[in-house]
Amino acid sequence: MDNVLSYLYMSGEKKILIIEDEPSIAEALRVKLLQEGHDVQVAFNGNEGVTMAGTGSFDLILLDLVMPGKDGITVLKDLKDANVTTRVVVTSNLSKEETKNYTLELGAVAFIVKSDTTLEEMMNTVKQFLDQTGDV
Amino acid sequence: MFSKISIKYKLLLPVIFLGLIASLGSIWILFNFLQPSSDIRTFSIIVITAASVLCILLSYRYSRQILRNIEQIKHAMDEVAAGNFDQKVQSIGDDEFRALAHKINEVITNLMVSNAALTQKTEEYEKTFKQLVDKNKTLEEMRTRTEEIMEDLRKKTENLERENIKNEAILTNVGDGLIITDKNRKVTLVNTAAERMLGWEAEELIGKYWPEERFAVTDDFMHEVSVDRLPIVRALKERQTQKTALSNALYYVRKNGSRFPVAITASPIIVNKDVIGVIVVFRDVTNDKEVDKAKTEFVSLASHQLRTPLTSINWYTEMILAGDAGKTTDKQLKYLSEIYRGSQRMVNLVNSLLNASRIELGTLKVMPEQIDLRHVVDSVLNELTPLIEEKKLQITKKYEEIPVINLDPNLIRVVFQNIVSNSVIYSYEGGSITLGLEPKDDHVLATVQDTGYGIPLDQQDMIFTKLFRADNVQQLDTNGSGLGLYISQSIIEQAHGKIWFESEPQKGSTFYIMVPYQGMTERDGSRGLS
Repeated sequence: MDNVLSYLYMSGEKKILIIEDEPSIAEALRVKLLQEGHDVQVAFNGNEGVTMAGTGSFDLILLDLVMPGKDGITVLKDLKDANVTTRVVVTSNLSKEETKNYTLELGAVAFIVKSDTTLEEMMNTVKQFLDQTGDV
Repeated sequence: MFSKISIKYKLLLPVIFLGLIASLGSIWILFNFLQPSSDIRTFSIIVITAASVLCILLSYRYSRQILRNIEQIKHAMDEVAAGNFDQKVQSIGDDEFRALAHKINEVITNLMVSNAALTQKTEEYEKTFKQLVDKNKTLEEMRTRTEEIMEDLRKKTENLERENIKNEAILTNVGDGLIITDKNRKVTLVNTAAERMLGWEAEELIGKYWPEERFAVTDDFMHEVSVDRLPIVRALKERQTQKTALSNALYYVRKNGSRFPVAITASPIIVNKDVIGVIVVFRDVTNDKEVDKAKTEFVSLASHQLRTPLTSINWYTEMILAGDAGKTTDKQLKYLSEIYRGSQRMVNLVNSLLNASRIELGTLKVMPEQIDLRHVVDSVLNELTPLIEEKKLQITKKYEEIPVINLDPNLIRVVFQNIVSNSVIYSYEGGSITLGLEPKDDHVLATVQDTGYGIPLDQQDMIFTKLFRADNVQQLDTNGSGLGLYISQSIIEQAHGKIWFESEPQKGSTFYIMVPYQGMTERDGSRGLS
């Protein structure tokens, strides 16, 4: 699990970071976002995610919550501490009300339950927040 | 006749005998003194003889007269003695006898009068006696009957006492806690199990108002439960057995102050249509709660874990269907659609399981706001429009003017979503559904009536049970999770309402949802519904 992999695609219009430990989920998102013409990078764990978010200037971050090592909540806190102002959309399969509220308190702009959402809906949400880039 | 003759001679013989003695005596005396002169002696003899004869004759005559009088008196007396009072003694001879006869006649007359009076009295007495005998007979009969009744009563009392002793023994020894109160909720009986569980002696509870005079009942969140929500109070008010669910357990407090969860069944005791008391049976469900919590937590965790692979299946299928992996044949598309549909069903099932576990864990968040149920039902109908049109169902709305109620919009929507979609899904093509909303005393009564498949009679008891699906719909539609009605009931119960139904197989079902005006209480739970 320490094996850190990242993919860099420079062809996109916007820079998007996916922090997701589940490769199949990350891949599906990546493929769809590439189709939309974005520049997509993937971090497979929290630590790498925080590092990448701090160095690259991303327009949007898609963040999973349950991850080995540093979980999504900690990532949100670290990003806040590091003054990273990139918008974060939480994409999780948790649906606890208190979790959702906590992530929103920590600065996430949306909370999406992946299993209840189609890829198409995911892309619409991403588009919605990308359109607002710069308003933070 | 013979006695007459003998009496006569008995009286005559002494007189004759006396005359003869006197005559012979005179002759002998005269013969001794007058011996010298034979003439005088002869004369004297003649005279004395003549006197003697005369004396005898006279004696005979008087004797006969006396005898005749005596005979007449005797005859009269015999007749009187024989009860023949119509007698007169004839006066014969001298005055004494006449006077006697007169006296006797007077006595006979008096006797006759007395006898007549006596006879009359006797008749009266006889009549009275007869009446008394009759009365006595009746009394005797009554006494026998009374004795029979008394005997019967004694036997019945004996049986009752035996039954009482048996019942008391049963009540005392049942394993569940048992408290019986009168209609004012004053305790009249406490069994051993209740004493053991509560730590109170029966004497310390009897005569006290149950339960508030001993402790305040609390819920899962340690909040005090108001008295009118207690099963015992509702049993008295609604005259129906009230039960608490494990998911919504109440807590009793022991004498030492510690609390423990209980499952309560409170049943009204109804005699001749009057509620005369309540039987409260309770069981310590500490272990059940722990097992249930572990089970529910497991379901919760497992459900979250299931979501990730489901997301992969959904998204990749979606991508292939969208052509992201190149061209697909029609057959491939058809098969993929099936996979996608199956996966979606799995997602729905997982969400239902999660909802059920949240309700059971008591972690459901309740955020009430002012809700018009007409809008809720309309929105649910709107969502179901494609299916309603596909099945060509006739929808009739019967909404009356109803007040807004403080309800959690998501929770109440789930209830109507389940009930109305069941009606739509389990209706024959071309059937009809009637939706009613009407205000009642302290609640809105919603009715959802369909002309659908109905619920098999032998399974009607089970349909609110978790994961239960009726045989008929299981064959017709495999999509249901068996959780919809369970979840709906749990939600409605949390709003202090009720949900029930009437159903006839092949004719249709009517579901009733009672939503009290008091609405839902806000609760800061950790989870909403998925």
